[in-house]
Amino acid sequence: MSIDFSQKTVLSTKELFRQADFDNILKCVHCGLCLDSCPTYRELGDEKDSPRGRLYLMRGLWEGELELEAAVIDPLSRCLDCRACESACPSGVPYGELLEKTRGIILENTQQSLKERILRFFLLRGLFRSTNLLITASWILKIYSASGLPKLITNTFFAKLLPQAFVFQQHLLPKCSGKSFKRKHADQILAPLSMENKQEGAAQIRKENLRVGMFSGCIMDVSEAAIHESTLTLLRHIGCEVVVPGNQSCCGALHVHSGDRKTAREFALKNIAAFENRHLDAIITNAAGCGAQLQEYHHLFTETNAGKQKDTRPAADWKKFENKVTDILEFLSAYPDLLANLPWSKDEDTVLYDAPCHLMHAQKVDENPRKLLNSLPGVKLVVLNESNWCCGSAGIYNLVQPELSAAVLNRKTASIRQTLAENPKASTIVTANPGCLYQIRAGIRSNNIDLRILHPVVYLAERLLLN
Amino acid sequence: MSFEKNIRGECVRILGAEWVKDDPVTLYTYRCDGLTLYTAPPMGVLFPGTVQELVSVVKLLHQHKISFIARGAGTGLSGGAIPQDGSVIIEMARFKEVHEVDMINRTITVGPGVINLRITEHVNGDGYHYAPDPSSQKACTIGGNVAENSGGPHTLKYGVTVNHVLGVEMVLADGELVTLGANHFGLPGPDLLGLITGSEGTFGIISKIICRLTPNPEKAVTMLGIYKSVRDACESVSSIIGHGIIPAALEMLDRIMISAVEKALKPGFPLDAEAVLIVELDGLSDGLDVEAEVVEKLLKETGAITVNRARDEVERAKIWRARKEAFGAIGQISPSYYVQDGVIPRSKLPEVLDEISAIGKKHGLTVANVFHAGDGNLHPLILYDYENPQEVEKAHAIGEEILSSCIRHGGTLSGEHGIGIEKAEWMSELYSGNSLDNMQNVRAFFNPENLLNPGKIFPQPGRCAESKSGTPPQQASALNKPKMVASKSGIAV
Repeated sequence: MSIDFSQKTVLSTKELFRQADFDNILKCVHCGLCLDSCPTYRELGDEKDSPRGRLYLMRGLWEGELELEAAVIDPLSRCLDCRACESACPSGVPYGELLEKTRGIILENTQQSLKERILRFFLLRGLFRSTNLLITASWILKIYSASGLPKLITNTFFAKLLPQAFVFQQHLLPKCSGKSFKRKHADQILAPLSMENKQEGAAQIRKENLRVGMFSGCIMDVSEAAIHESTLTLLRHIGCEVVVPGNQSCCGALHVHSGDRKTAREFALKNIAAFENRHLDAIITNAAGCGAQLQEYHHLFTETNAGKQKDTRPAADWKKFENKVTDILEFLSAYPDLLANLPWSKDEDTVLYDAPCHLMHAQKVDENPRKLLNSLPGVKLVVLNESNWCCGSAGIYNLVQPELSAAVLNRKTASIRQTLAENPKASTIVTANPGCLYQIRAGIRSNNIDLRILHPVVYLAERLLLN
Repeated sequence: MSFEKNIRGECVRILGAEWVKDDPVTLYTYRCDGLTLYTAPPMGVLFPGTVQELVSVVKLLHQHKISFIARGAGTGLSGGAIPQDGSVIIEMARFKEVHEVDMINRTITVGPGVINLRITEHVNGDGYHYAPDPSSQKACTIGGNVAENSGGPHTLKYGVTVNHVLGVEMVLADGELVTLGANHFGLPGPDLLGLITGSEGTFGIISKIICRLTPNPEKAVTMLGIYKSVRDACESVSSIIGHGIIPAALEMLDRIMISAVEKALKPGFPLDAEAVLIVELDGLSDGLDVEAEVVEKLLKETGAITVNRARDEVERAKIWRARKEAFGAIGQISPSYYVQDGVIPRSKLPEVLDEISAIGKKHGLTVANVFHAGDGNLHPLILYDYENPQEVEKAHAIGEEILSSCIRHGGTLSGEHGIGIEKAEWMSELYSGNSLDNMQNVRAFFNPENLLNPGKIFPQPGRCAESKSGTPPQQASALNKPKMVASKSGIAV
C-alpha cells in the first residue's frame, strides 16, 4: 500500500536532500511530545500539520519516498517556524534548521504561487536589500499614515466594505520614521553616558572597556525609531561604547524562513564583514528574529551546494561572530548592579509580558528578561497566559497565510483578554520582537483592547528618569 | 487506498469536506503512531467534531462493514492506532472540550481529545490534579489513556487510569451511544467500566470521560540516589518497599539512559554513575521529612554512593522532565530504538536486568533501561540502526528474548503500553487457547463483526494458528514474525 508517486525524479529529490546535511532528521523518534506545543496542530488537529508529521514528510523526502509536490509542500508551508516544538522536543531535533533547509530546496525546485513570487520579488529581493529603498518606503508609509487613510479605513464603514485582510493590514503598518538609524549613527563611536549622581557603576564597566555593536536590521532601521534609540540609551547609560556599523544589512531571517537561502547568504557575508574587526565584545540585537538568525548563520553554509557562492567563511569565523550576538535584554540582565544604579521611576505599574518565539524557542532566552523587568522598582510583571505561544506573525506568514495566522492571533488576543481580566490594572504589554509587536498591536487594535504595546527596551527607557 | 466515492460522499455530507481526508499525503502521515516499527496507511481519516457526527460516521461505516479505529495524539507505543487492513481512522483531536468541573464530587468531565496534562492544569489552581501521569502526558490524550489503561511514574502510589475513571460515554460498533458509570463510585453489577478501560479501542469509541480528581499532596520530596551498579539500585528498591514505605514514584535510569538525557535535557545526573534512582515521597508535611531520612538511610545502606534531594520546584521539574522525556532523548545517541514494556515481580529485578544486559551483549546491541522500578515495569530500549537490516533482525530477536525472560520469571507482556499489534502474537505465550477464546468472546459481545480496531491484542488467525490450539511458547515465537507492510522510512523494518 505504498504511495504511488511519479518515479522519474525520485532520485533527484533524495539527492537534493542528501546534499543538504540533513542527517539530523534521524534524531526524531516519532514520540509525539511536540504535538501539543504546535499552534497549527492545535488549530487543525491534523497529523501532517504537526511538527512530528512535518518531520515525517521531510524524512519521506530525504529518503526519496515522497516527491516535491503540492500535497507535501502545503503542510510544510503552513508551519509558522515558531520552533515551540524545539523547546518541547526531548531528542534535540533541530526542527527550524531542517524546515528552513527543506524550504530552500522547495523554493529552488518548484514553482511558487504568483502572490509569493510578487512578495518575494518586491519585498525580499528588492526592498530589504536596499537601504535607500527602505528609507523611501518608510517615507511613503509615514505620509500615508499621516494622511489619516489607515484610520479612515479601520475606523469607519470602510472597515466593513473592504476585504478583512486589507483592513487588518492597516493595523499592521509599522510606525515609520522616514530615516535610517544606521545612517544617522554610522561608524561613530558613541561614548558611554554617565549619570551625574551615580558614576561608579558606569566607571566600572568602562574600565573593562566594553564595546558593543548594534544591529539595526531592515524594517526596524526605518521604523519604530524609539526601539533603537532606547537600546542605544540603555547601553550607553550602563557604560558601553556603542558602534553602529553603517555597512550592515538585513539579517535575512525572512528570507531563510521562506527558503531564499541565496539572498540570506549574501546578507550573512555582508554582516560578518560589517561587524568583525571592530573589536566588539558583543553584537546587540533587539529583534528576537534577527538575533536568532545571526546566531545561526553557519546553518546557511552547511549544504554542499552552498559552496557555489565563492566566499564562504571557515566555521571558526561564524562561531566567533555568532557567539557575540546577544539580545539586548539578555545582555542588560548580565549587569544587574549597573542597572540598579540608574535612576528608575518608582511609579507603580503592571506590565504584561509576551515571550517572542525566536527569543524563547530559538535563542533559548527565557528567564532573564522577565527577571530584569520584574526587578524594576514599582513594576509588577505578569507573564501572559500562554506567553510562549506564537502570535501568528512569523515573518511574512501573516501575509502569505492570512487565515491560519488570524486563527493563531485570535488565540493570542484571547489570552491577552484573559490575563487582562485577571490583572485589570495592567497598562502595557511588552514583546521583544518587531514582527510580534506589529501583529499583537494589530490584534489589540482590531479588538479594541485597552493596552499599549511596547518593546521592553522602550518601556525600560521610559522609566529611566533622565534629567 | 482511499474512500469509495459513495462512502466519501456520505462522510462529506455528515462532516463537511474539510473534515474528510483521504489524500496520499494525509494517509502517509497517519500510517503509524508512536511505534514506527510497523506501518500501514488507513483508507481515510475522518475528523468528527461532535458526538452526533461521531455516531453518524460510525453508523455509516458499520452499515458498509468498513472497519475503523479511533486515534488521539498517536503517541501509543504498541501500535494501537496503526490501521490494519486499511481501517478508517477516526481522529478524536477535535473533542477537546472540558464539559464540567465538579469540585464537590471531585470529578471533571472531558472530551477524549483533551491532553492529559491539560486536565491537571485546569484544576491545579484549586489544589487538585489528575493522578495518572504517563511520560507522554504533555501530548497524549485522555481518550487514548482510557483505551490503553495508561500508567505513569506516580501510579505506584495512586493507581493507573482504571482507578481514576468514573464514567464514560461510548459509541458502540453499530453506532449506539451508551453511558457507563457516573460521577460517583459503586454501581452494582459487573464492572463494565473496568472492562472498557484498557480494551485498546476494540470495544467502542469513547466520546466523553468522567475523571476523578485527586487533591495535591501537601508536600513532595524528590530524591536522587546515585549508584555504582544497577544491582545496588535494585536492592534499594526492594529495601524501601520491604520497609513498608510506598513512595509516590520509584524510577530507575541506567548509565546509557543517563548519558542520553544528559545530552538532551541536562538534569545534572552524574555521567559516571551506573544507575540513578528517583524516589519521590509525598503526602502531609508532618512526618514526610522523617520518612525521607529513613529512605535516604535505606538507599545508602543498599549501596547508593550519594543521595541528593531536589532543593526546589525547579530542580524537581528538571529531574522529572529528564525521566518523562527519556525515550525521546534516545534520539541523541541512536537513530532508532525499540522499547519493551514487560513487567516482572519486583523481587526479580536484579536477575532480569542482568539477563537483559546479557541478551543485548550476546547480540551485540546496546540496551538502555529506564523504568518504573517500584512496579517492576521494565522499559528496556533496544538501540539499533534502522538502515542496517542485520541490526533490525537483532533488535527483534532481543525484544523476543526479553519478553520470554519476563514471562519465565512470572511476569507479563505489558505494564502500560498495551498489546496493540506489537505484542498480539505473544498473547498465546501468556494465555492458553481457552483463555484467549473466552476473551475474544467478550470482545465479540461489544464488537461482533470485528469492525472496531481489528488486528489488535489477539493473535491473528492464519498468522498464528496456535491461538486456538495452545501450541507451546517455544514454537509460537518462531512463527511470529510480523507480516505488516515493511517500510523503508521511519524507524521501520
